[in-house]
Amino acid sequence: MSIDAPVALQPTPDQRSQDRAPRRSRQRVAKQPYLLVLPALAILAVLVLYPLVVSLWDSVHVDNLEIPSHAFTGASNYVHVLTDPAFTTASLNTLMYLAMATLGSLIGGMVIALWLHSLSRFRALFLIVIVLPWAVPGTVNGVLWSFIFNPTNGLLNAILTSTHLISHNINWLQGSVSGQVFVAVSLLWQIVPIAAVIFLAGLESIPRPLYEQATVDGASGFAVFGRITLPLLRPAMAIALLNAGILGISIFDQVYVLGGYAPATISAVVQIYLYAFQDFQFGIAIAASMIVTVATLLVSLFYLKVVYREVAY
Amino acid sequence: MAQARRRKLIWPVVRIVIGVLIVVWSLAPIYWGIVVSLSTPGGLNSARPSPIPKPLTFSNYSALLHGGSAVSSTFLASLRNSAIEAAGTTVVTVVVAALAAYGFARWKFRGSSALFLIILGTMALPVYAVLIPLFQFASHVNQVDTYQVIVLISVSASLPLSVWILRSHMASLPVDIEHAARIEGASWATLLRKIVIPLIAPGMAAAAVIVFLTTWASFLIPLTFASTIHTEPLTVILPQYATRYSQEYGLQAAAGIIALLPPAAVVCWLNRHLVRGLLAGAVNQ
Repeated sequence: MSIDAPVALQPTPDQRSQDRAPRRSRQRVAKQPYLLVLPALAILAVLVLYPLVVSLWDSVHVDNLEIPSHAFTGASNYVHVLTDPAFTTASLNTLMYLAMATLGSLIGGMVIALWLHSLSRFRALFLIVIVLPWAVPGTVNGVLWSFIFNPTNGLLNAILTSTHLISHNINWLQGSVSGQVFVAVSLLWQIVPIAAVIFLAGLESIPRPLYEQATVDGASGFAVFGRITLPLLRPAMAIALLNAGILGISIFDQVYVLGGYAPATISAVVQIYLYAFQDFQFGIAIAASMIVTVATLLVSLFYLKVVYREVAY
Repeated sequence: MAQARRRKLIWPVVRIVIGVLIVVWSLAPIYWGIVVSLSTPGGLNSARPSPIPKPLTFSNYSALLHGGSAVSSTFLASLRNSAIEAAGTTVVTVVVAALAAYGFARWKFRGSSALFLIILGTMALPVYAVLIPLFQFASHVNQVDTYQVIVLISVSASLPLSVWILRSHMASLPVDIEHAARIEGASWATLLRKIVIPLIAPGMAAAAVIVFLTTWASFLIPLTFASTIHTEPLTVILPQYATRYSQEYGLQAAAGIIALLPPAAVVCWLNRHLVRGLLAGAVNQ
């Protein structure tokens, strides 16, 4: 999927001589394309680009109160965010989510894609089963997992106590490591299907003769996977990592439902929401959102640079 | 030789075990949610969890769906809000995106690649980067807690991906039919309605499925802009059952299961469009 698909109405030289009528009409309706793209551009300009400029402006002009003061406040909002222990906690938690989302998507997505690819029948049916968790809304996802992790009558504690593996109920979501792990599990339940679909498309695009040649040459299954499948999956891996990274950094729904504002599980975006709509510190919240946005862009660039290589067959 | 035969025996077993694990991982949380939704509070508290609710009850569903009580009127209002916001966003996004995609796919005009890159570029901007200024505008013009503000902001969030999906679909269509229709004297409106839209229907379906699922699931936007039950969708109401109605797990489970029925139906019926849209979205984020 390249951005530079051919523009179809651009006449090729031999079309130009045969095909006068459309060309003339095209000149007459030169306003047409602008009118067609105008609504989309207007919506994005007003609701995304302009607010972004306002965000950047406000982050250095609005002080910690709700009322905007137009005096330049410099980097004070940024300094406040970067020295706030609450933001540090949220950022460290978010790094954990990022790591677990990336690693889990890579491994889980690969296992699922290889399994689906090996099926000769019922692939469409199992694809539905696998994609289903992705379509479950994030808050429903959080609620479903809360029935499992919940300290008083969750399924996990019930199974562990009835098999005598633990003697009393454990409050998993309050633990600083277990809380993050379980929130990440519910995130992975939602995002691993995307990685699986990407890897499956990648596997299906690898030319079959490559495998046949390798088998004729006597390569083992592991050698085929390591020497052919993995290198050719690099573009798919870059895309899957990028996707998992962005979703990991911006995790909100599962954290909000499973842990609320608890420091053990709070994420950077939940912290932004807390600054803005609980503390009403809009300037600080905007500065924090700019920091997280820049971090997201840097992580995206890093993943693309490290993993993406052009593949030639 | 013996080793090869053993490997031949082990591999199918490993494959089945992995398959069972994958299916359990995908479906178990939903299944357990259904069990909780069909359980009484007492049945849930029993020490031994049972895969079949004992005693089985539909009281949670009837409490949500049968009119009269405060619980059901809140639930039904939020269900209606979810439907209005998701459907409104889908229609507006797909129409606006189809127009823009047609413009980009069929003309090379001054600034077209720059404008297209700007549209794609907004996809890299997360919604939380612009949420607070948007909230301030909306409250300034008294539009918080209205359908139109929630729909418009949801449209701006899903528009770039839809433009991308539809443009790449339209660029892959042959232009000859359009030329022929133009020579026959068809107007642009007729051309669009009779030829282009039927041809791009699969692309529109892929975009519509993704936009509908994303908006039905969206949480941060309505959490910010829907302040009362006039506009609060299911996703915003759902977490409140654990506090507002004092840990009503059964009600919360039933509400959650109802909330995942429309997306589940979409996944089952429109799976092919969904996978195409998912891939396009992933390629581009």
